[in-house]
Amino acid sequence: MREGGAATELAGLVGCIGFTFADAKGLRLRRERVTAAHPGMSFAIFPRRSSTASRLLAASVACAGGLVSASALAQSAPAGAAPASTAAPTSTAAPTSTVTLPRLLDASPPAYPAGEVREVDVVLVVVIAETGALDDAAFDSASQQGSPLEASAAEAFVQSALEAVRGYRFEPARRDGQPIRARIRIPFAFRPTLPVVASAPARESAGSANEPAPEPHVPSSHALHGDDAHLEVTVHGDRPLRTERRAASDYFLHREQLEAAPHLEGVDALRTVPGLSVFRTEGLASAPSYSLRGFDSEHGQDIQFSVGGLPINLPSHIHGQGYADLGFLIGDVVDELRVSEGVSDPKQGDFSVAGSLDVGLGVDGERRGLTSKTSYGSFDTFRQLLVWAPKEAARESFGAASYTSTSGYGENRAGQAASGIIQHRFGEGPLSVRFVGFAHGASAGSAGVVRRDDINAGVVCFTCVYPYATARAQGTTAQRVMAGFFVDYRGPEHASGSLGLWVGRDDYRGQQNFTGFLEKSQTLPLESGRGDLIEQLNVTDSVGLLGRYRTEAFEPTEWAHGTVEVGSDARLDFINQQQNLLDASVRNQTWDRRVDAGISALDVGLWGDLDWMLGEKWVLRAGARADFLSYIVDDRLGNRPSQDRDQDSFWPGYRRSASGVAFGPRASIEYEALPWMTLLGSYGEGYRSPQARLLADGESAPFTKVWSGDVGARFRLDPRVELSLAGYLTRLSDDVAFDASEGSLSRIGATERLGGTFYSVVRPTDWMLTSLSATYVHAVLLEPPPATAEEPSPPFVPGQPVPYVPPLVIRLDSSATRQLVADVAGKPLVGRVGLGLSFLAGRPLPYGQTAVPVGLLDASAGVSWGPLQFGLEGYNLLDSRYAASEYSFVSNWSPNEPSSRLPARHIAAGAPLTLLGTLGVTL
Amino acid sequence: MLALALVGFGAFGCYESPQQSVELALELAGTPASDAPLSDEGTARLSRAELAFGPFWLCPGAQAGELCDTARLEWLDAARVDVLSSSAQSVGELRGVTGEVQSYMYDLGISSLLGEPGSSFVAPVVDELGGSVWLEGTASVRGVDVPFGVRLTIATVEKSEQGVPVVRKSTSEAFSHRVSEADEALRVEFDPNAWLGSLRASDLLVDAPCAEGVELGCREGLELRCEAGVEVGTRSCAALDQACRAGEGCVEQLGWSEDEPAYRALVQAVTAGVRPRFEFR
Repeated sequence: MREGGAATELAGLVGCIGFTFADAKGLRLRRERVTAAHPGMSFAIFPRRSSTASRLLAASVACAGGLVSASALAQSAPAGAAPASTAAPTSTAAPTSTVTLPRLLDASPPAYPAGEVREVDVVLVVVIAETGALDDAAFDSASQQGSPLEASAAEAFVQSALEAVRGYRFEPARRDGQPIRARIRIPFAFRPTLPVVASAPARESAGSANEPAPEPHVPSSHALHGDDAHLEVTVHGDRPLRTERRAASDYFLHREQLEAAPHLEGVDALRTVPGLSVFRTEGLASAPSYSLRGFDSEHGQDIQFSVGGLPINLPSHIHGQGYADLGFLIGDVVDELRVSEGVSDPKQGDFSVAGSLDVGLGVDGERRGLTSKTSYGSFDTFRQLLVWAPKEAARESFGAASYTSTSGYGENRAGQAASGIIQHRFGEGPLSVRFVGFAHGASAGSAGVVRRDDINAGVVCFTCVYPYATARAQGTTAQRVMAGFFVDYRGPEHASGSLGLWVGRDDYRGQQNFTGFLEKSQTLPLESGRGDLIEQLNVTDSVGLLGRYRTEAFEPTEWAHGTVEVGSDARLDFINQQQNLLDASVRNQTWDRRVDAGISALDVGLWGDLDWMLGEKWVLRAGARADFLSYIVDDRLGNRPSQDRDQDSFWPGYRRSASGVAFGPRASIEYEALPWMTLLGSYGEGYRSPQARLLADGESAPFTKVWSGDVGARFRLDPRVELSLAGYLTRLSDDVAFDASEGSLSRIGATERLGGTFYSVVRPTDWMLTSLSATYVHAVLLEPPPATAEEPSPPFVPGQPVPYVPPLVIRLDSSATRQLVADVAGKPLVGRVGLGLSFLAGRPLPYGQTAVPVGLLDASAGVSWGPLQFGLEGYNLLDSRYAASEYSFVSNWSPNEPSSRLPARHIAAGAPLTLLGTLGVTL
Repeated sequence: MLALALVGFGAFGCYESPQQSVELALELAGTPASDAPLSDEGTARLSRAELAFGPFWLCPGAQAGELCDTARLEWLDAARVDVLSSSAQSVGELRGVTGEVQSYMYDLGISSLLGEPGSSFVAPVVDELGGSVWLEGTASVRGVDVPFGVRLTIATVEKSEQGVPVVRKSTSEAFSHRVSEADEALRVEFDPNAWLGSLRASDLLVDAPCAEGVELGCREGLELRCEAGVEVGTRSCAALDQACRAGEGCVEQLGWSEDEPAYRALVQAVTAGVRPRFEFR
């Protein structure tokens, strides 16, 4: 910290507040410490006669809504030292979070309004985003109570203060090392007669002591007046209702990371998640294909997705268990991703096999208002986005709509999609209600897959479709609507709770042909070779409930204290599904019926969870979860007429029911080995529900069981560098993989994965961010199905790598945002560049094949000036010909020649170089 | 670091792909002509035996046909083969992967296709041969030499078997080999002499006495001239190195149409009779 002069000195207002929160009952919660402010935590400048003057510090820490203020008398330390302050605010923060308050990195005092001679105090309420950028700044009119300013006079001082604060740079507040959004109050004291005041305190506090301080400035205006500085700091909105980040492989990804690299679609933001790959393989209207740390999740079978608390996976979907289409996501309202890789949290339910991922929605202050963005680019891609986020409303409150149309790259990929998402939080304080809903519709063609040998022979081009009606008829139409009400309770002493009710409807109709002309009708024996165009229809009506309550903290012994949580979630799904073979050359004549079923599926989950601090360094979380699943299946094509019975001796159909209980313990332990290193271990047993149609009558539902263990460490060597390293071992009792003949999933037996993830987030400067992750996995099949007469040459053998799983996934996201020109017609011109790099090592394929590795480079550049933004985005800049998915199976795309019966490599071509220009305006 | 150790351990996990791509030379060979006994009496000796061979699949399961959706090795072409020559004729490369093969199936130049009923693919070699199999020879029955010649068109005709190759390993036949990268070639050796065993003496030495409306009959290799159902003269076809055919008298070769038993017998012999021998090396 710059040594303070005799007359003035920066206010180290909240210098290193290592205070311990205490609740109303006086319980000490040692882990709830806020390392607040720093030697240079002066949000403004003010004159001080003595560096040791005492000041009144009022600190309010209101994590997630329950704003509770407390005051403490802080004795400021001598200039240059970190003044330790203690406070005893009531906190409702989670018991193990460590909160670091924001600090000022760069500031200049406001100009004193010309013609004024008065002493005026102005308080601004400033919101600092996770990036450290100023999110919002507004005049706190309430601060003028008792000394009201005239409106006109206030305007001049307020404008001066606002102008000044817009140039400030902050280190963001952090919780557990993760940047969080924070709101602080900055008082400005305009004193025309006082001498010069200048500062750049936070630079010093950030370790840049050698940097020269700005020159003094005249006239001066000062934040805080007198020796007693009254500062309120509010860290808000981010206190999780419960601790979600439990294991070494749990990550919070904030907006600044998610938007570092350009994303063609909202769902592409998921690529930033360590170990997760996302590819569009079946066109704009079908769910992307996901793969997470050694699990080929296809369309979502191994990842529990939720958006704003709404569960996205669809059980027993005809196109794949756990089908999760995140195509409705609008990137501009994706606020954060909460990722739990592995199973360690009792809250994780169905499909949490590789892990769970919750998308948080919101619009931060900088972007609030009415935003319109129009994009146009390669392949006639047009995108229109509208976001409406009232500035006075909570961050979570917004409405957004988007429309996209494209001719698509190559052939048969034209499509369009529209999405609308609305979220609003009602009320403040301990009890608030959040409504969230979305509607989505999409229709798009698909080129399906083409054989590599046909590409090499020039039969079909890389991005083309086979010239048959059955190939050109491929495509998907999808519709989905979901809505939910969630009541959140944030009580004292860590108590919290939620109640939710949601409903949804999903309609899916897809036509795909993977194998060309191989199929024979099972219902019309003499029909064959009319094109393997598989039509899948699925309608799911869902309703769900959820509720949880975490107790207040209690401390039965000196060395142990914590909370207990109980929760439940339940859903009921009514599913109607069909699968047929269509002859596209004859107006989609149905020439075979494979599935016609109605399913009622119920899942009721219960869990309990302990979250306990043991001593000073250990945190133990332990619990268990049990799910009761029940199915009623009306298989209308079951028991087809067979040869041993006359066809007219019975009616086709096989109605059956099955139920079972999936139970699994979950536990994690955390040890603070060093101030900069935390060691973590976790274990959990999860499950994936069965495809209901495959159940026999009375069968105890054969859940896919997962055993998952993680060990690792998190490092925080410097506020600007976060690192984590995790190793994991996961075993699955009964895995599934893509089966081209049915265009869906089939069992491949038990599998095991051993791997590790490296993850880092580095902020070398306050205007640059880079996150890098690398996930390696050794995934093998343990007990694939043996050869049978029907399948004499199974594609899998024991010890074989799990198909379609990339053994190595590397992801780099980087961005830089800087002011290019300070003043262009009164407004700064800000530039921004972004970079995204993905690498997937060659994926093992059935029959001992290996796919070609994939490397993709995306980049963006843009400028913003006042309300206007212009950007240019480039995807696959190296224009590499890559396969978004690659398979190995038998097909026949030469219907007029003898067909090959050897498994052949098939690819769904990824997008070539794509450029997109965007013009935006925010009002 | 434990995590690193785990990753390191995983990196050295052992796995060798169970299937390696292989290519084997496909060699076709025949058997020199010999006097082959007919099914009842007499013998026959081939002077020409050619067939259109292919496509050809080797399957992992014990049963080919419908249960061979996924093959281990295949050759999708078709070639004209002199199956009276014991010299190996290299016709192309079998492509596929290593592993056990337990059955085979092949077409004879004409492949049934899925799609429209009866649709098939006819290899050019079939046009050259005038059919799937071309056989010529001389039978000797009761001291009479009878030249014969036939071109067989062999294809899958059953609707229920559409798309299935015409010749498949029989369930009783022993066939098994583990294809490895050490295998260089597969020799398929046919014995057309064996096919002749499906013929009967009566198929060759036609007995067609004079009758009302018959002008030319046959008896023991003699051409019968008939008038009003009465034999009025004879001619020895054998003396002319010819055969006698009912209604036609002496002809250069005796042949059969698709609806004649001899034709069907030969088709049966080619598709379901004595099977070729397979030799990997």
